[in-house]
Amino acid sequence: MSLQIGIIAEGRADQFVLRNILYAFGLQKNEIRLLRPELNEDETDKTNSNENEFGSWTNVEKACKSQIPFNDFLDSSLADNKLFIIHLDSDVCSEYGVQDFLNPKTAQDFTEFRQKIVDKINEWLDNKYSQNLFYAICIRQMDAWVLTLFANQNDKDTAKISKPKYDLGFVKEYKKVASKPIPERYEELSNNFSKKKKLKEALKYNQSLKDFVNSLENHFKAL
Amino acid sequence: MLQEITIKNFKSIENDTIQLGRVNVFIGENGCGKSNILEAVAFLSTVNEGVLTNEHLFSKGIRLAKPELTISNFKKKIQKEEFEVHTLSTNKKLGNTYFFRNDNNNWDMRAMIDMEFDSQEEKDLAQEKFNEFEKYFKEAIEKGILNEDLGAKLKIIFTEKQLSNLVNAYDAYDFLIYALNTPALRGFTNESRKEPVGIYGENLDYLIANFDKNELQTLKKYNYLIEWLADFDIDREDNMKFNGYKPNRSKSKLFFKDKFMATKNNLFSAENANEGILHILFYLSVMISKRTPKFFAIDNIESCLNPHLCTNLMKEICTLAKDQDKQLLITTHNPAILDGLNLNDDEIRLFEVSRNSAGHTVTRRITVKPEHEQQEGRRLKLSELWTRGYLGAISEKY
Repeated sequence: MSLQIGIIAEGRADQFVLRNILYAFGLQKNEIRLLRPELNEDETDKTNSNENEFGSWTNVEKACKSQIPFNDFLDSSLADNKLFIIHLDSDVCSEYGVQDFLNPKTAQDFTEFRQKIVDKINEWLDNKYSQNLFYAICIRQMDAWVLTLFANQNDKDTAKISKPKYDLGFVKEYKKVASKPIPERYEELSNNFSKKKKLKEALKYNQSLKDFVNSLENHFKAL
Repeated sequence: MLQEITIKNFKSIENDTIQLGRVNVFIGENGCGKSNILEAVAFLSTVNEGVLTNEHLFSKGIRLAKPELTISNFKKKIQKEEFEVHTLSTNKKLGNTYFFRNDNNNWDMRAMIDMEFDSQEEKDLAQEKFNEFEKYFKEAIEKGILNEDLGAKLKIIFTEKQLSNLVNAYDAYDFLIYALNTPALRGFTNESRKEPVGIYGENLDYLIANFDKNELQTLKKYNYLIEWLADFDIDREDNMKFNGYKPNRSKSKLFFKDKFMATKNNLFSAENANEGILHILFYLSVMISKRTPKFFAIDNIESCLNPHLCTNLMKEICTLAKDQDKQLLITTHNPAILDGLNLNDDEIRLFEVSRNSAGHTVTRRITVKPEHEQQEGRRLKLSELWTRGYLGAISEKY
């Protein structure tokens, strides 16, 4: 049976980064679906919604609470083994009802914080579908995950950087892609996640990335 | 029927294998390589005629390109000198590989028999037989049919089973790509001189005019697909032209009767007919005719058709393909086409065509759960699964 894995994320850029991570596990592009719940709506439906290029957590909340993408995909007649990745950033967690974890210090702190956000997603989903889900929870922002690819030995967990998006703008490679649209920019910056060695190395610099990759390793094979 | 094709180094296809059914529908975003698949198979069709001129390739529906663009040319890869198409016929016992090379703007082809043999000697012998077979088969094609004399010659060389496999494999060799355009269907243009009907829709009237009674009866059964259609016919003497029915001087002798118009004045010619009826009539006619290829492609089948008509046409084409023993490759951008496919039937197959991360065209068969495993109640139709992004085959950029 072939595999199909759908990604529901705050925005397109996040989906592209997550797809690069899946490539490291040998998944092919046509096994990964960058799902867009907004495709359920037409332009008339959308007149009242606010869209922006990087998306927001409300897209994820809406998709989870409605359960539409999950029902549509999992209950469809398609024969594939169907899985989902759900992404959320923690930077505005208080807005979606999770108390921010100030000054996390240890790996354990990050993992516990991550779990609270996972619990929130499961609450939105009425605790359904968990056997088909992976949780891509970025403590602070996706930028913190991407920064791990440019980290140096002895660097701290990139989630401890207060403004990872700002820092990412200063990495040497950023200039080369700065003129591209945001999703493509992040796709290129995170290209090295698709290489096993580079991804493995990156895990040293972000516990929430490590927790996500570990969950994939439990399902697929180890890197 | 062809059961499997592998295409290597052709345009955007680096290496792709497709397990074919009887009716094969390909979906994918613009530029993903759907038409390239059809064209690689169309190159095969030049084999029996031994003609690989640009004019001949064009007449098969192949979009001509410089040889440097026809053979795959990917970044960081050394361009090969030839592209190849490997085929397996119905029972998978016989496979052939065809290599196409271009020297000084002339295409050349060589064929190799592809089977597992116990020894090199046995393999050489089979290759020899195969070359001999090709010679005889070309004779057969020229004469129109495999006559008894030729049959006897072939039987000396091959066992009954081998012969049957070879003939099956040759079903691909009059393959062509139909890509209809309305002016050709209306009888205004005549770019393709293919017999009995052109690849753009030319000479539809000629095809129908030569139908036997059964073919015509079968075709008329489908009049129900067009609500206003009372009947159609061929004006063999072209009297309509003289009676003012063809002011734009269409060459088509096809005319229609409208069931809602006054009986004394309900005729109109192909040049006045709506596009939908002409497209529908063309597809049904090539499906029903014994003179059209057994294996062919339709590029963008949905052109000019209402969604509901797309679904019903596709359903009828699937049935006709079995009844008339035809094999088809079809491309579409219209989700409604998918709703006419019964994917529980293994002969009806749907493929997503896409570019992988290196830009190579790859195909993925979309399959459904066995009927007994499918959940009851409201499920999304294939068309809905496609438009909502669950099948792929849509752009990621917007």
